[in-house]
Amino acid sequence: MLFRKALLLFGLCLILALGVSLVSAQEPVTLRILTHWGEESFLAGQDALYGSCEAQTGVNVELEAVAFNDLLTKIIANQTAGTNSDIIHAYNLWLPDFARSGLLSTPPQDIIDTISANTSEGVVQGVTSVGQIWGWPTEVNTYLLIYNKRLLEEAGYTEPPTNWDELKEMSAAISQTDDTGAVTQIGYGIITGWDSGVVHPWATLLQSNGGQYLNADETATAYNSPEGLETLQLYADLVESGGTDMSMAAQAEFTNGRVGMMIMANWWRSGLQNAPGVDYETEVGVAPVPVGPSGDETSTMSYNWLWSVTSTSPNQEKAWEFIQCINTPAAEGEGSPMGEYLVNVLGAIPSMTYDQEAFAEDLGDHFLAPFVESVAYALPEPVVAGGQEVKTRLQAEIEAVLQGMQDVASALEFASMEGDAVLQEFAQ
Amino acid sequence: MNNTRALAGRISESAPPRSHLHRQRMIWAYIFVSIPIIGLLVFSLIPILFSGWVSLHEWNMLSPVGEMPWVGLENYIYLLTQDNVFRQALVNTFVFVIGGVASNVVLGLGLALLLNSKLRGQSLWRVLYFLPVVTAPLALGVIFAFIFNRNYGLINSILVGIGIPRQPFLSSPYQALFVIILMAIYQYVGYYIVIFVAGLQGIPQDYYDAASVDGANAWQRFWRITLPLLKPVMLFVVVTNTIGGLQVFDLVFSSTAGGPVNSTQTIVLHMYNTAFKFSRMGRASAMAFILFGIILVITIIQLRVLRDRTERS
Amino acid sequence: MATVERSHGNNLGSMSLTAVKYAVVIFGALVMIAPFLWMMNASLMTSAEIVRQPPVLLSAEPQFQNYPLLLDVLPFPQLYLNSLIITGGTVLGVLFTSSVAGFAFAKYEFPGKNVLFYLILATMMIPFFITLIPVFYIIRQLSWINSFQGIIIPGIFSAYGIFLMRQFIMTIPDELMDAARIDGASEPLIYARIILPLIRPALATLGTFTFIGSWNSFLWPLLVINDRDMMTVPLGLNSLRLFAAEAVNLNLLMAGTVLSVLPTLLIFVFLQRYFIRGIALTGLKG
Repeated sequence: MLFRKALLLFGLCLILALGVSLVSAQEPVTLRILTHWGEESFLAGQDALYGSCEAQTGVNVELEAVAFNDLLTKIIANQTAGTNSDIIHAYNLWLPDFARSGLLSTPPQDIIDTISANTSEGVVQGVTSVGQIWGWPTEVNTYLLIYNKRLLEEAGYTEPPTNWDELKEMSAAISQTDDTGAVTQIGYGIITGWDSGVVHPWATLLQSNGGQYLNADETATAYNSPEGLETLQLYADLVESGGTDMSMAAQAEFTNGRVGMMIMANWWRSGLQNAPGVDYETEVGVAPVPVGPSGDETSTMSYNWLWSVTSTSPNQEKAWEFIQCINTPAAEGEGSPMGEYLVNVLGAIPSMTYDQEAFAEDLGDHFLAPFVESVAYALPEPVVAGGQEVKTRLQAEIEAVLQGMQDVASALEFASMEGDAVLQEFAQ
Repeated sequence: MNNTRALAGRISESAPPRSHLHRQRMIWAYIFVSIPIIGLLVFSLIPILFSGWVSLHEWNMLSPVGEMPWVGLENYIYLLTQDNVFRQALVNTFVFVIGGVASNVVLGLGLALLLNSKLRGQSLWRVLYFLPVVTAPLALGVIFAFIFNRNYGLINSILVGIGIPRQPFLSSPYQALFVIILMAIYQYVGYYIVIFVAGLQGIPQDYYDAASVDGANAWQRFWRITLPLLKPVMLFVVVTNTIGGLQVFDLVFSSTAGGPVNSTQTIVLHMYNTAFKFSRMGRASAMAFILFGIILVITIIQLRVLRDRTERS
Repeated sequence: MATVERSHGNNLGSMSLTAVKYAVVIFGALVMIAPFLWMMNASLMTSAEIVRQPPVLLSAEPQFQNYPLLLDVLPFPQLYLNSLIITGGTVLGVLFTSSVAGFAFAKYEFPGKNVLFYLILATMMIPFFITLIPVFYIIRQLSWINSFQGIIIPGIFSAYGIFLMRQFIMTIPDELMDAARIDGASEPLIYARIILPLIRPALATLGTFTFIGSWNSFLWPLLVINDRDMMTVPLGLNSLRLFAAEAVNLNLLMAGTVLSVLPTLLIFVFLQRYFIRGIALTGLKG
């Protein structure tokens, strides 16, 4: 009796176990994706983006989205605890650290070939560290001169400046102060208090003046040069002439319609579309970065975001398969699902040339078109270990000059001394 | 550990004498204590000891813990001799603490005396003064940026109205720190008012009555009765405010992020950036231990000074 | 110091003194509530009105729809619920661990007592960032990532709370405990029946402070939680900010902040009577 019962129980268990294993065999692999597309408006389209390839590659996406400011902290914490997501969305400046620490897995060769064949040289460089491509480039950002057409016209200018003399003259002409001493608008806005916001625009001006941010093999800083001195002097001149004013928070005041011009990246587009004081369609203009006295042609700095697979992921193969799927167009001449998301939801520039072509019409928007064009000639921000620290130290010195606390020559000398020390330390 | 012993000792003086110890009670005491002790051991002490170990290494938090290169005291030496931002952060933090503690003591006590002097609507006033304590630092940062804006802020409108030139406040490296101190006073004074009011209510009315009979005026009563009897509360306010102030982070992080030009950089903010922006956890941990030393020394000094004064009076 | 209470003197003088006192208190209160009012007011404006120059005092037309709009963007009921679970758990946990330990430190003698107590106090002097990564590692070992207990449990051991409770319980006469012992009460029963009822004011005080801290905490929940359905109020508010921490839709951010502050404010309004007594009796008095 007892034996029969036990047998029955055993049989039941067996059937149950079989059933479970059958079901679980069909269950898709779960891929955790960590991204900075965490703003409410950006979350909306991501289901559609992942949906198409989830079924195709047999995966189930679990999205973890945080704000940009918190992304690195989150990656670090996850990595220490050994619980990193399968796919992480990374800013390319983090690559040297990630690569050195064995955080990332290397992409399969066919993916590397596809990326190399379908992106600009700058993008390839942007996602490469120690001679290795580490992930699939998503959005690419460059910096251009963004200006308020209305303020320029009110000051009597129909065209944006093409060189620094024009830039200085127009900035001074646009700036206004009321009779109580309040600055009501400024010609040129300089972002402060945020390392990339300070250094990237300054570096685009430096490059447009024939200068370089780091030396060719990226072992030392190169901004303490005659071109660099001229670039920092431009800032000092702008402060001197009232063309800019530190009491105006450049980004916020531009969206309030109180800043004539500033150099900013294309990701800012959604901020400008929601701007309370400047009309995106009719008032926001975009132009190449004005050329400096020592420069021959306009230049810009670009940086990349990329999707990488972590080395701790148990599903690396699936993850790369999934990444390839969402980045591959369904048919010749069409764009990829990722391209479509980047362009239509984010308003960003996709890195893949086939996406840039397929969505040329959407990217032909008066704001984005010049940025797309600039990707071809942009110099990538050097992807080098300690890069963030070099940037922060230069930021402090640029701001010191803007505040009149430091002269141009000693600021650059000090920043390059500190930057070189950091680069040397990491080179060892 | 001396400071905490002193602090604990001071307060245990008033404790009644212990009855005979029973073995069983001791076991219960250990059981009672074990719950939080195990928790603090796991979630505080072990992590702190681990950080002490990390402070003698170079670690980017990405590579395995076992592979951290040993650097000895290098992190400490770098911070004390070469890190200009750390030096600036030290100065700023001290200015912040001195300004904040002094103001909170004077303002908190002054307002507490007022609120305690039989005004109508006590709870209403307390709630109003406590409002900023519950307001999120993020929101305060946004609001203060508007109010102290050089060009259209309320404060500057008032200044211009009375004939004083506009001040740049948060956008000036010479003034930003003082606005941050104001923010700190604004946010926390309500908390100290509440503590001082509570302390004042603990002083028996008989003392004042007796002094009045002896012909003491209000001023004398304040110096001879209120202040001496309020010493323990004062000690609590000064010590906790200093420990908190030396670790100021949220307030700066959500308003100026340390700028302009590091003029509002604080120790913990610099620590945060060093760890999570530059991935130098070893150096950041060393900073934490230097800060720990500073807090320890200051707390001991405060306890000594305040205790001496109490004895003299 | 002219405001210190004066019990005698002529009527006219004391009346004008009272008037001065009220004037000072009212002025101070206005200053304290001004930014709060500004925030409420801004939450009823359009984004353009908030930044207009010169500043707009009142919206041309109160934008009450900002609140429904905000609820469209952020699932506030869910955020409230998550925050309440986490904050509630943390408060209860802190009250329990602090009172139990405070009781033992105040009322028992046992070897190692002082060493343990100083060790606990010393943990207050290390900034919590530095322990962030190791604690996260421990949470991971416990498989508590992406769970409410992963946020609650590390937060329920409070050195400050233990200190506060110890000071308070020390003021309770031993005779009460001895009487209970004679009646045959066990030690846990003494804690539950004698101590807990007597320290209610202190519990209210500690509870309120813990509530404020836990309700506003940001970084730790950010690390532990991956699932958007488990987001807390501060995490939700943060997603209203752009990429580079630039706030778009200031009006919505302000509306969100107003909603986020309300629960803490209500807690304070209800508990503040206890609260004042709580501090008054903590043994901080001379």
